[in-house]
Amino acid sequence: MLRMADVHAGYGATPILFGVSLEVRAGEAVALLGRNGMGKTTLMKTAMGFLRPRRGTIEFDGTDLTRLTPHAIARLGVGLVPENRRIFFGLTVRENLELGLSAAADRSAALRRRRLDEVFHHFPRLQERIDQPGKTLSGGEQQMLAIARVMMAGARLILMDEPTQGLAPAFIRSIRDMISELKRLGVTVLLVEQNARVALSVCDRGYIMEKGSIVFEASSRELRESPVTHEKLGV
Amino acid sequence: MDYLVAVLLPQLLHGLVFGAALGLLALGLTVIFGLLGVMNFAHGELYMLGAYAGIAVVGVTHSFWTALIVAPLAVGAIGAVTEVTTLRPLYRREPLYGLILTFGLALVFREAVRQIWGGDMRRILPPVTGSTPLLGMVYPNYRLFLLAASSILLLAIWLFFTKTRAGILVRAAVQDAEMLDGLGVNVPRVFTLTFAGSAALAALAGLLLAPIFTVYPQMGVEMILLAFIVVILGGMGSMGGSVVAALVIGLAQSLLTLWMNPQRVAIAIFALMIVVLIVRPRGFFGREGVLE
Repeated sequence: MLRMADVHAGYGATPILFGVSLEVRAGEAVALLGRNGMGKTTLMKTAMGFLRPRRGTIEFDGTDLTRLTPHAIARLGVGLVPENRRIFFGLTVRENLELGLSAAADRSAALRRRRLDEVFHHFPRLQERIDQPGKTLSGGEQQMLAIARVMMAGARLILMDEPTQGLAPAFIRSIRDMISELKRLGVTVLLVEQNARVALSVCDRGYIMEKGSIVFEASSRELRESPVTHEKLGV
Repeated sequence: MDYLVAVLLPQLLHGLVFGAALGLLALGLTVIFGLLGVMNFAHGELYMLGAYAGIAVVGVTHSFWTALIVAPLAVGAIGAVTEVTTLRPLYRREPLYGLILTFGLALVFREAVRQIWGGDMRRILPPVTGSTPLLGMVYPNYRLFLLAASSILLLAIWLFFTKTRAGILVRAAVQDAEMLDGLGVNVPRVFTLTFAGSAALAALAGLLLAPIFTVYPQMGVEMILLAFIVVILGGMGSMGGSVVAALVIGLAQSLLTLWMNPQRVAIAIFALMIVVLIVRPRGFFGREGVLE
C-alpha cells in the first residue's frame, strides 16, 4: 500500500534521511522504531508531503506521492496523527472533527453524521466535550481527537507519530487498543513509537531506524526477542 | 452642558465612526499577519486603491452604491493576483522577505495611481447628505451611515470567523497551516482568498472614508501607521483586540484633537502605545509566542 524506495530528505541544507526503503502492505500495522533524532518524524513528514524528498520514490496504492501537496495526499486516503497531536486549540472538538472531514471526497451531512457516530462510539469522551475548545482537553483527550480527526476523513493508511508520548498508563492502554481496533476495521497503520513494547504488542512487524536509514527489519516476535532491538533501542 | 453637547459629543461620535472604519483596515492587517506571518506594508495602498477604484466607478456609473460593491471586488482581485504571483514564492523564506516585498508593492501601487490619476487631491461626494438631530446636536447623515455600515461589517466578519466553515479554516490556518493542509484542505487557496478578502476590506474602508477625507496617492501612508499601532495595541494577530484597539485609537485621536494640534496628537498616540506596551507587552489580547 505504501512503498518508499531510497528516500533522501532533510531540512534546508541538513540531510536527515539517507536512502530509506520500506513497505507497508494493506491491512498491516507496522512499527517504526528508533531512538530520538534518527529521522522517524522526518520520514512521516516526508510521506505526508510536508517535506519533499530529494531523491527516491514514495508510492501509495501505485500513485507517486513525491510531487503532491499534503492536501492531495490526504485526499488519497493518507491520514497523519502527528507528533504533539497538533489539534486546533482555538476551535471546538466538533470543529476539529469537521476539519478532519476535509479530506473526504463527499462531505454530505449524512456522511458527517455517520462518521461522527463512529468516532463517538470509539471515543465517548470526545462526545462529552463536543463543544469545548481544544485547549481545554487533557493530553490523552487531545490524542484521541487527533486520531478521531483522521477517522473522520476515512483514512485508509494512518501515519501515527508517537501517539503515547507523555500519556498516563491508562491512556496508553486505550491508544493501544484503538490501534488494534483500527486494524480490525481494515485500516493500515504505520506507527512511530519510542515505547517499543507498546508498538510491538499491536504491530505485525517493524523496522528499526538509525541515523536516517533502516538498519533492521523483522516480525514483531523476532524484534521482541532479538538482541539487535536491545542494542539499537536500549530496551 | 453646552460644551458637552456642542463639542464633546460630536467629537466622541467622530471618534467612534473613525475607529470602526479603522477597525476594518486593522482586521485585514492582523489576519494576514496571523496567517502569513507578514506585516503587509501594502495594506494602506489597498485602502487607497479602494478610494481610487471608487472614483473610477463613480465616474462611469455616477453611483456611489455601485462603487461600494465594484471597487472592493476589483481591489480584492488585485490582492489575489498579487498574493499568487509575488508573496507565494516567499512563504518558505524568512518573514523579512515578505516585509520588503510588501514595502516595494506599496511604492508600486502608489506610483501607478499617480501615473493614472495624477497626484492631486480629489473628493468623492457623500451619497447621503443632510443631518439628523441627535441627542441635542445635529450630526451628518453620512457619518451615521458610516458608523452603521462599519458596525454591520464588523459583526458580519465576526459571524464569518465563528460560524462559517471558511472562517474556521482561516482560524485553523492561523494556528497551524501545515497541519491543516495535511487534513486535506487546500491551504494555498485559503491564503489567496484571505489575502483577497483583506484587500477588499481595506478597499471598502478606503471608499467609505473617502467622502469625509480627501483622496490622494499618499492617503494610505497615514492610515497604515495608525492601523499598525492598532494591530500592535490589540495584540499581534488578535482579531478582537484589533477592533477594541481601533475604537480606542479612534476615540483618543478624536478627543485629543480638541486640545492639541495634529502633530501633537500623533505624538500622543505613540505615547499611548508605548505606555500600553510597557504595561502589557503583548497588547490588549496578544497571545504568547506570536512575536517571541
